[in-house]
This record gives sequence, C-alpha cells and structure tokens, in this order.
Amino acid sequence: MILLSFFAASCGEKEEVPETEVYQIRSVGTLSTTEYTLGKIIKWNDEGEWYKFGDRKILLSCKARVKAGINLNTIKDSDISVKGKTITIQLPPPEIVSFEMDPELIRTEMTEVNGFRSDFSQEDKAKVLQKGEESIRKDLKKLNVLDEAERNAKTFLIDFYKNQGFEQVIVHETPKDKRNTNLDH
Amino acid sequence: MKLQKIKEIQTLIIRLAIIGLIAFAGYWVYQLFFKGSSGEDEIILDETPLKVEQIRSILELNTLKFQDEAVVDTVEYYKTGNEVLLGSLNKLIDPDQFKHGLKADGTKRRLTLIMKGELLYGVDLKRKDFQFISKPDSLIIVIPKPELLSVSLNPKGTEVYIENGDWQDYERLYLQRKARKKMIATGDRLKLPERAKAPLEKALRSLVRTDKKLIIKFEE
Repeated sequence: MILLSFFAASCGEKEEVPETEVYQIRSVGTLSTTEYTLGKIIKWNDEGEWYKFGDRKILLSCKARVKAGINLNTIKDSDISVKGKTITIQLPPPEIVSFEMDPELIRTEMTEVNGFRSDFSQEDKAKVLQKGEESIRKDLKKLNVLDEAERNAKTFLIDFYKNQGFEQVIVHETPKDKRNTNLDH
Repeated sequence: MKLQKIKEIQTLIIRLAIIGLIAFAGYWVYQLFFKGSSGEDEIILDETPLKVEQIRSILELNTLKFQDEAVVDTVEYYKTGNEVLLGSLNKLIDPDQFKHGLKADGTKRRLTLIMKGELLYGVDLKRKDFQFISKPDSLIIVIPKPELLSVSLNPKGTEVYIENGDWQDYERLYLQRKARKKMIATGDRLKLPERAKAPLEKALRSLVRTDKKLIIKFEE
C-alpha cells in the first residue's frame, strides 16, 4: 500500500509542457536546381521478444521532397577568371539543400495487432517514421540527385553569364570524390 | 483486548501491503513482457524500395535558414464525475495508460508534441526571373523580394512528449499544422524575409563579374 501510494504520488506529478523559444538563423547562399519527390512504404513487422505474446504489423506510406544544388558562398575569387568575353568558373560540389517529409503526406495504410500486444500509439508511429526517414536518407545516396543538380546548376550559370554579355562560358565541375556525402539536412 | 486490536491492525496493514506489492509487481511484469511499445533501437524495418515519383528542375536562391522548435499541445478534460471515475478505471486496466489513470487532475486525453523545423527563405527564380539592366557606368540587377520557400517538419524532429489517452493520426496532424503555423509566425515576427535580402545580395555579388558598378535592387 505504501509502495502503491508512493508510486501513485510519483506518477501524479503535474506534467509540465516545456515552453520553448529556441531558434537559429543562418545565412546561406545555395542555389537549388533539382527537386526529387520520393515515395516509400515503411513496413515494420514487430514480432517482439520470445516472452511477448502476439505480434504487430504496420504499413505507413510517405513522401519525401529533396532539393539539391550548389553552395554559392563557397565560390572564391580565384574560382572565376575572365579573359575578354570568356569566363571560366570552377563549380562548387553539389549538395543536398533540404529534405522534407511532409506530415500531410504520411498515412497509416494498415495495422494488425495480435495476441496480447497493444495497438500502435502515436509514439510508436513516430519512432517507426524516424527509422523510415533514416532509411530514405540512406537510399538517397544511390540516386543521381547530385549529378542532376550539378547539370542544372551548370545550365543556369551559362545562361546567367550570357545574360551579362559573355560569349563563352566554361564551367568546370568538382570531381565526384570531393563531393560532400553528408545528407543530414 | 487492546493487544488483540493492535495485532489485527498489524495483520491488516501487512495484508494490504502484500496486495499492493502484488499489484505493483503485476504492473511491472506486464510492462516488461506484454507492453507493445518498443525502443527505437529495436525497430528494424523490412526492406522496401524507394520510388522516384518526380524529378523537377527548379531554380531557387536560398539565402536564410531558420531552425525553430515549437511545442504544441491539446488537452481534453472530463465533464462529469462519472466520466472521471469510468475514464480513470479504464486507464488503470490498460498498462500503457496506467500512470495517467492514477492522476486526479481531470485530464481525459492529452497529446503534446515537440517539433523541430527548418524554414528556408530565398527567391524562386522559376516564378520571377532576374532583370539585367546595363548602363554605361553600372550594371543593375533587379531581383524579386525573398520569401518563404519551404518548411521542413521531419519525423526525426518530432518528439511525442505526452500521450495520455488514444489519439488518431488526424489529431496528430492537426498539432503538426499548428506547429508549422507557429514557426512561420515566428519567422514573420523576426522579419526573416527582410533579413534574407543581405545574404542574397552577397551570393549574387560573388557570382557577378563586371568592371561596372554593380547595383542590386529588389522588386517592389
């Protein structure tokens, strides 16, 4: 009884909702040139441990929007040279600019709960979706997002300089092995 | 007679303590063995393909990134004493809701999310293009005013802080929309579209090569 009342008292503490005013503002200078819309079915079969009776299954569908481009802020003076009506530019490596998994486009397609297992809570779903996001980010490396972004950036810069009156625009790309492979945006 | 009464009280206390202990142990055994929720590390997803649905050429100059955090909350209270009693009993027999059933604050359901988001400001050049005006002594570039281009609210930045009672997906979505609105309002309050102008100018100046005086103007 004593234990129970102690337990009740400890659980009965008022749940305080944290008030936050946390933000960070950062100047960037990226030129986004490509947007990929990706779709994925997130599938989890929760068999649980041997001592948990029953299993649970969930299927969630989601979409991710990924933007890629180049960081103009990394262009140094020495990366651009002008000779008469010809301009030569060393293009910065392409990178992922933003990654967006719109909550509006996330749906629970199916759940199945057997035995003594409890239904999927919002917390469970949030954890499954976090794993799904990780998986999409990992698979992203296999796509040609960065190549596409680099190609489009090149086209933009050629037009941009031709608009300024240059007759010849030479764009050099960064070797692929010098690209930033960090996709955690 | 007095000794007998003390003994009886002692026995009663011991029995009650044993019942309490059994209930407590039962709860924890259930939590340990039958509870459905799993830790993040236990989740191993089945392999499914990533489908490319659309590839689009875009042209956006992103000049300001704003990372914000918003707490969004929704609470429902019991309306009558009967509801309190029935609701609390229901929660007490559900191991996932047990701790909420012990509370006497009249909360029927509560969902609180802590959302981290990223807002990107800049110029969408697919909608509005640059204008180059070349004058004998100056080059004028007229560009559109920066605006909010995207809001990223991802699962990695979503924390379910309190989940008391059963909640549906559309109710969670309602809170996520609220968080999004809050972040956009904070961005507006901080005048971020205005503050995105300076880095936009800087990015353009790093690209343009001219002997003339470079003037960058924003569209009215």
